[in-house]
Amino acid sequence: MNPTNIRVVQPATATLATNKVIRNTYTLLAMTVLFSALTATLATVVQVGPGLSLVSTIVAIGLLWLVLPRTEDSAAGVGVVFAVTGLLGFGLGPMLTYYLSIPGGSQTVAMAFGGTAVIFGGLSLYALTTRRDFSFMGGFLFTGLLVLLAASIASLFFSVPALSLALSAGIIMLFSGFILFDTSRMIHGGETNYLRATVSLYINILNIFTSLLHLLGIGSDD
Amino acid sequence: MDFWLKLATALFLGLMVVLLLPVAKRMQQQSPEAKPGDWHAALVPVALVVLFVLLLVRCS
Repeated sequence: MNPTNIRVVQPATATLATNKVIRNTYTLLAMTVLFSALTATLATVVQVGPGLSLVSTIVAIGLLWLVLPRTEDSAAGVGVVFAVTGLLGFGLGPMLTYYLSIPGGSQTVAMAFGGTAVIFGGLSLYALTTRRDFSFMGGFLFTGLLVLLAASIASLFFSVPALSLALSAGIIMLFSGFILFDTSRMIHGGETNYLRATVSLYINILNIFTSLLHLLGIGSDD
Repeated sequence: MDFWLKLATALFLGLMVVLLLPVAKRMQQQSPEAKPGDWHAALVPVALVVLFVLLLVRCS
């Protein structure tokens, strides 16, 4: 085969593969968000306690770390993605129950959901249309994530409202950066597995939603 | 949140830190250098997100 032909064919194949990853990711993401909304509703209806919520989240992260890497190239991986997102949605139960029980809470939850959709849609559209490579942010984002995790541990034991507010704001900014980073990885071939891409984007959405809900909950609580 | 639940959550978050530490180190080593204008292109949309959140908080 003429090497020149290979050079012509490879980019077209790569573009097709990239488009397929993007299409599959957003289709599966839409389904998993819907599914986790259902499990979150179920958890709210049955009034799940914080203990079961924590167990649900730990099991989800366990599946994500231990089971998904072994199944991500098979059909079983789709089931694992639904299990992870369903359990993470279920884990939102106590938080949603709390916000829905306060005056104007349903409006706050709806506003957080709508706000998250606008943020995710806007950032995804920006990354997809500009086609910029945001892979340079990787080190910064993961270091930032470690800092926020450490601060979250501190905020559990030291009830400082300002720290809690700063954490929520920081999480929204950090995961906004992760949306740009993850979307750019799909576009530039850094992420070729749509199951991994779906879970990454889902976690970004989940973190932005919970932090926005926290900020709006504080904002509406005069 | 009672003490044991806080402790369990803290242990879980601590485990996440331990698991993510090598990933963060690898990302720092492997991430390409930013080209001129790259940070600007990333920070502008994030700043818009901040403004949008402030607007939502004011409206809530």
